[in-house]
Amino acid sequence: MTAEQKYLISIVAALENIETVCGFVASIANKAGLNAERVHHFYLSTEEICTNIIEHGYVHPSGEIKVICRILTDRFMVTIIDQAPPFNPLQHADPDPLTPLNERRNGGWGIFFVKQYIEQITYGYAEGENRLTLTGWR
Amino acid sequence: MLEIAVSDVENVKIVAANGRIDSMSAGKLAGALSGAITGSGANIVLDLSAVDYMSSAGLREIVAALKQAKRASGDLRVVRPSPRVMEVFEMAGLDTIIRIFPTQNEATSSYL
Repeated sequence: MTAEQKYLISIVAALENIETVCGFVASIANKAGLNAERVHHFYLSTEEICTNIIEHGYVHPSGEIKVICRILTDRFMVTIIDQAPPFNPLQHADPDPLTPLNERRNGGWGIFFVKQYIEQITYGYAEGENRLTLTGWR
Repeated sequence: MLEIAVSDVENVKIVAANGRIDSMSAGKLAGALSGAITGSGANIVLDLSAVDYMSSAGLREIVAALKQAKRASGDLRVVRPSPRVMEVFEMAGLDTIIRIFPTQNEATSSYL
């Protein structure tokens, strides 16, 4: 048995393709043996990150999103890659759940949810690509 | 896939969602809620009992509709979110802002 199994999907960055990429991540997470709750966490996190890239990252509609899933002995990793301008979601200020309704923005919760759900998140920018990696222990 | 049915009980609009509320379908929910609020009143019951998945895109539209309803002297009250949807509400602190009921009847009666 190899030490690492690697799976790749590439989509045009459009909202109608998000369900495909989320389903792909969920199927590999299942293969990695994650329980249903954690598969859901990876599914939702993938949706949030891809939605941000599509709605705020790419200025042109024809960008690409690549997603690489890796199953290692002790972990499951999802790397989401785009070529939009550099954006580190980990530096995005967290919204405050205690904010009263009249002072709230309507949105802005996506990255916060990813941070709640995923055990380790790393970001890097190199050679024109944002690379965000979500890691969960098996 | 998201299906939405809108009905009236006296001065209350019941918006019942069925399926998944994600970045692709959230606009459909927004349209239904906005249409219900600008119609004959602003007392909204949003039934989420048949919604098994909701991301921040759905939350955004619910917060927007709640503000819109309150501006129109009404409210938006929610029926029985699934555990996963409730978790999203709790992470965003919406469970402390929005009124949540176990049944559609109880939510509707709270306005009457």
